[in-house]
Amino acid sequence: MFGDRNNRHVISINDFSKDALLELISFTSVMKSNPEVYRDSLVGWKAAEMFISNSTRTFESFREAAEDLGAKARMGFRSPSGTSLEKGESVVATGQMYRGYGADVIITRSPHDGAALYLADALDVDFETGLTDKRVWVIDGGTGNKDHSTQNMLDLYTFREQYGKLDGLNCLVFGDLLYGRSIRFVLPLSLFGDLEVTFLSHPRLALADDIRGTLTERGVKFQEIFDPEALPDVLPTVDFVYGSRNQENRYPETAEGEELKREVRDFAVINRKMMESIKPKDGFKIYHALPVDRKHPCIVEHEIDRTSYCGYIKEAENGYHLRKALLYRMRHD
Amino acid sequence: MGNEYIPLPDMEMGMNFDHAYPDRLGSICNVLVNRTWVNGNTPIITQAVGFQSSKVAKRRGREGKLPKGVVKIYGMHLEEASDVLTEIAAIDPGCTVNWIFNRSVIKKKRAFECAGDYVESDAINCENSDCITNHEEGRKKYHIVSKGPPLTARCHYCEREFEIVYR
Ligand SMILES: [Zn+2]
Repeated sequence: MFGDRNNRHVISINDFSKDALLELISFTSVMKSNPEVYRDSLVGWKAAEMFISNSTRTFESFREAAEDLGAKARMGFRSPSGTSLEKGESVVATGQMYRGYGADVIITRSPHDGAALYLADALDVDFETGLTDKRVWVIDGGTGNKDHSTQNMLDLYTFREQYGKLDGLNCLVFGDLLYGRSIRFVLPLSLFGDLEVTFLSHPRLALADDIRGTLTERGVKFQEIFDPEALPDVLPTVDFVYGSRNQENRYPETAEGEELKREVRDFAVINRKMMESIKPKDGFKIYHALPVDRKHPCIVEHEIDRTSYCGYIKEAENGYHLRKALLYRMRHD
Repeated sequence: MGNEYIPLPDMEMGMNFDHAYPDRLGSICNVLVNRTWVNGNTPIITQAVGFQSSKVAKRRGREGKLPKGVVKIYGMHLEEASDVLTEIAAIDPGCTVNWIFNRSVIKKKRAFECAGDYVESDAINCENSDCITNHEEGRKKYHIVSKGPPLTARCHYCEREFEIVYR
């Protein structure tokens, strides 16, 4: 899937073609069913994780994925507290340090837009100008307001596992569409054709212009609705639902941001009662990138966890499998 | 010690950046001084500020005249769409660029017209406050989307498109 030997960074989902994504998805299936074959495939490799904003699932699944393939993955941090970044060290200097300690790949999460590309660029320049002869690949583990490439990849993998295809899917995407990075799966999914999407959100959390623009360009059939009462009508018409919880940590830290939080809280929530009142399509699933706050579930009540509609537990597990496959291809392509 | 003056040569050949915003002169001169000149021969570069200009006033949407900045490069010409002119265009898109030869102006353009399609510059800040370039020291890169006016740039890192204010 990595065509260019000189560029194996994973910066944005938009950098990957339909074919590259299909290759990764198919390879993930192969690896998932024969894990023992690949047990030692990253022996001699080191992974570092630089998570400048908090993470549980992405951080843990990358570390376990790397270690279960034989790599060392102890270096790094899952929040900046207690690291030299708090003392004002730059992200690039921190990355250079991990390279110095032998990192072959750095997975990074940052609140700042473009941070993964910035780090990759700086490490490439060091290599190209001869400052180092060690190449390091950077993986976006959730960057700024848009990118969360491996979440998008694992979601595509999960949809294909469930429906056996990626074309001709019909879905409802709802919740925080503006600040939610994970709902950007619609962009790579639209490469596969015949996608139909209904977007449902509070008007203040409506779809970002760039997504709307790309979907229009690609001729995707989509509609935007702002009425939570419409949920029971839309649910029976779609193959799956994808929720994005309110990304309150990315709202402006102002009085206006506080007001936004209150206004959009629990705008549209799917619960068991609603599901019992409708007849969903065969194979219907509910997905979302965990976690959900029990007090303010925003999107899905916990009681859905134990119904056949719950797709999000498997979705989270697939994060581990997809990241394994990605790391493998990064080294061996 | 008395006052010492270094007499400036007449400009036989060179470049004159005129009607620049006085507060951008420092950035323009930095670009010129820090670039690598052919054969390492840095030309004489002068800056002046204070002459009254109706063009600067007009750019600011005001009546009458306002102080302007002037930068001169002696003995060298810069090419349109070169790195340096693109950077200057992004710093002060509305200033006037004159090419001088045989003591006459042989070409006159507005800086934005001289922009190429890509620029690396520390003098231009991305408009997106969440952009990594506003949180790390170092390289900032922009793609010029439209010469305008207004000159529009797209940040290489966060992809935000923004207008560099022409007035
Ligand atoms: Zn930017």
